[in-house]
Amino acid sequence: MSRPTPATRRSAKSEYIETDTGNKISRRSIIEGKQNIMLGGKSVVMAGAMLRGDLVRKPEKMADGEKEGPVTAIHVGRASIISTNCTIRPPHRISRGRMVFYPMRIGDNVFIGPGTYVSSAVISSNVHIGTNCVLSAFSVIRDNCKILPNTVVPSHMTIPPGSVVGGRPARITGEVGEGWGQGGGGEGEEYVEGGDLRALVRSIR
Amino acid sequence: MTSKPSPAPTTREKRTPAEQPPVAKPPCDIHASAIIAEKAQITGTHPVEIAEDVVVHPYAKIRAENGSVSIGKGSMIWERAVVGCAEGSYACSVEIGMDVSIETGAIIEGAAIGDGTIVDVNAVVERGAVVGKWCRVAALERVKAGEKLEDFTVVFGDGRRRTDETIRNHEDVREARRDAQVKTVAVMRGLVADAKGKWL
Repeated sequence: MSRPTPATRRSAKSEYIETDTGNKISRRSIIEGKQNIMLGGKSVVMAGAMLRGDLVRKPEKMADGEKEGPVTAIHVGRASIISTNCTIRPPHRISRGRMVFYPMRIGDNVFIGPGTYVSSAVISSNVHIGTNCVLSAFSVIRDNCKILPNTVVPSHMTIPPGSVVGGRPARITGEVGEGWGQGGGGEGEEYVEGGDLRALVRSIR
Repeated sequence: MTSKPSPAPTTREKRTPAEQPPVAKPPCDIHASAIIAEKAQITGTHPVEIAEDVVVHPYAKIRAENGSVSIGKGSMIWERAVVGCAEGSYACSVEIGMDVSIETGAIIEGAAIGDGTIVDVNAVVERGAVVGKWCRVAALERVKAGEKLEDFTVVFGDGRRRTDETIRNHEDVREARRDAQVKTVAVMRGLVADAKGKWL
């Protein structure tokens, strides 16, 4: 009837909230424990993406008077894009007899495709991750890698720099070759996988 | 519309729905030591039974529209996982054993999941399927409707199967897995806020 629907009400606002450092965070993203998430600037978190910042290593009992330092669960670099319906959850394992969550680090110009699950320890810079991938706990993705869609990277796997990875479980199927990530990034140019994503970030609004 | 619409709600009434309990709140039997996150969803009309030390993460869904759901001691339902089925008219009850991990985005419509089993990220156990004890359904895999998986089966690599001999022949490995699960539940107590009161 005449009651305004939520959709029309939302459309009055913009999809993304932009922070001082140029990060764009969708209003429809799901962020738990936002105080434990660091975005480097000009990074994008799209609608439906879920970041589990609440799963952090709780500092062990400190001496009296010492204040709790800030803990980071998820660290994302500059111009990285976390697409729709991704799940980013820090990995956990037993250390010294107790279960501990480890902080997770994502570098610069990393593109994470829609529906992908990330529980890696480290993702370096200029990495392109396809749609519906699963990056299991403590996997390490080095620089300039390309992960094909629907890949399942097993836990603790380290992917060397410049690899193309695909399959279930993941195998290294090739190298990205010369010129990976070259070109693009300029004003009015198309973005390039593994290249500078700033132009793409700028076009998202 | 022929019937006269009810009088327009006042502004105060308009605000309340968010605070009200969900429309279809199933009869829940939740143990005092279980953790149900604030943003987890439990829907349907059939009984839902949650045993001790179960952790249900935010945005996980328990759906009892077409049958009862029971979750055994020490099991963990991660974010965006769906246990039970809402669509269709067939009856579908789900029984999850002890120390089971239902990972992110997994869909469980199957009749039973045995103790110690791991259903990995975005895997699907279709309706009526029975998964044995200490199985592992790897990420993105699918257990077909009505299928029965023997104990210690691993489903991996686009539908391939094998038996996990390590876990079958070594009681201490199973013990270590159980221990890890207990420790994970323990750490969750400090990290995931409990809101089971909403469902009781």
